[in-house]
Amino acid sequence: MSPKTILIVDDSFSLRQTISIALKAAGYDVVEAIDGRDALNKLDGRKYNLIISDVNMPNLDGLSFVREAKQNPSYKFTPVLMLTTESGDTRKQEGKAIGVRAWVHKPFLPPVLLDAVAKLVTP
Amino acid sequence: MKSNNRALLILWGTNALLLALLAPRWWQGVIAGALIAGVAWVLGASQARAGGQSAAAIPSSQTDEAPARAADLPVLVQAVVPAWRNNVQLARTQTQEAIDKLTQRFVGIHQRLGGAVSLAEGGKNGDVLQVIQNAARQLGGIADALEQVLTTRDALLRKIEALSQHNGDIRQLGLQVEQIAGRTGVTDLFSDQASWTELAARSAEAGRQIVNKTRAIQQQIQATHLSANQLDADAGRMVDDSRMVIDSVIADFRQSALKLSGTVGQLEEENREVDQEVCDILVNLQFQDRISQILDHVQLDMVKLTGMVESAAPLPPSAAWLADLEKTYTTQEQRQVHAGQQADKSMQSQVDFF
Repeated sequence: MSPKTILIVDDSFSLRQTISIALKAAGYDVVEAIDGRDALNKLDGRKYNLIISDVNMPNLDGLSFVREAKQNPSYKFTPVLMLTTESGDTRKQEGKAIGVRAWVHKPFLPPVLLDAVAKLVTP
Repeated sequence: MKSNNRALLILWGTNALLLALLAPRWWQGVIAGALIAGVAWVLGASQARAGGQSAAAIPSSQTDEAPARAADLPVLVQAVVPAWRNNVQLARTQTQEAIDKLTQRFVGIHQRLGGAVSLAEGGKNGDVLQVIQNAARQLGGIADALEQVLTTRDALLRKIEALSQHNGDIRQLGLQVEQIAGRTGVTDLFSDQASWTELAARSAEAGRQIVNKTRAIQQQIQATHLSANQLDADAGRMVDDSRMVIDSVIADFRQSALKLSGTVGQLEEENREVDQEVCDILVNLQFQDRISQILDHVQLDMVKLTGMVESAAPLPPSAAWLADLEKTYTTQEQRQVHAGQQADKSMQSQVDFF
């Protein structure tokens, strides 16, 4: 069985590395994007079993990226997990409204993130 | 302004003089003139005030607003700077705490690596090489003993070969006796004395040789028996000694292997601990993302204030400014310190599923 692929979207290099190490150690394949715009470019037909995105990013923020990604029929049902320092209920409700499935607060503990990923990742 | 007052004084004097001349009583004219002049003065003064204001309307709107901005700016700064200070203090506190934790983690890793190096050195300098050297020496002793047994066995084989040679000699003597017996059979009573004597002598000689050979064979058999017993004893002793040596070598190897196994187990445990430490460090390093955002919000607010001061735009009330600043916050602790509360230091992962 081929490993599941997860798209990580975060403008912080160190955060992408931290997330990537945790996911790869758990057996997932990882594709990285440095912001929402870069992530949209990587929605190029590849299958992603999950998208993990930050909220506050330059060029295109995470919620705008998700909104645009959900317009793409190929990724309409791809589960999205927001991983962010943003803790305001307004942004959470905004995320929920556009189809975000989980909201994980930074700093995250790898086991907690992996548990959430395991619950959301598609077969 | 002085010229206006002088004109009014002249007007009042002329008016009072005329009214005094025209009035039935001169003092009534003076009073009426004074009243008219007073009214004129009051009206003139109010016009002068109104005229003065309308004349300076455009420049005064600027000069009046400038003092207002100058007055608002300290109020705004006094309100905003504490918010900036709180955010910067929050960033400093989080940096310090994260650095302290990182330092502790690195100290822990340093100690664990030091312990692992000591374990590795213990394994390296431990008994392994000594055990191998001892084993080589002890097993070399077994080889020597085996060679000794082989030497004894060779001697025994030589004795057995000698016995085989004696067997040939006896067969030869037996043939001689058989020949004597054959001749005895053809020697009749009429043969001469000499023939009998010769046969008897030859028969006696054969008998002596047989006796001697038999004695030699007996001695050889006894020697061979002794050698065989010696070989048996040597072999038995050597087997016992070898068994002891082998048991000792195996025991040494077992002990060394157990020690190595223990060391490997400890090293694996240390490896797991270091891996966990590194994992925790990666978690602690996430403070950089939060602090970057906190400082970014303060920086943007500074830029905003600088821009408004430079553009001479009206400054908003400090409450509105602070409310706008609060909207930029992303973390719970920013909102807490903005509200003057203690920042929550717990850094627990929280997950909300929708």
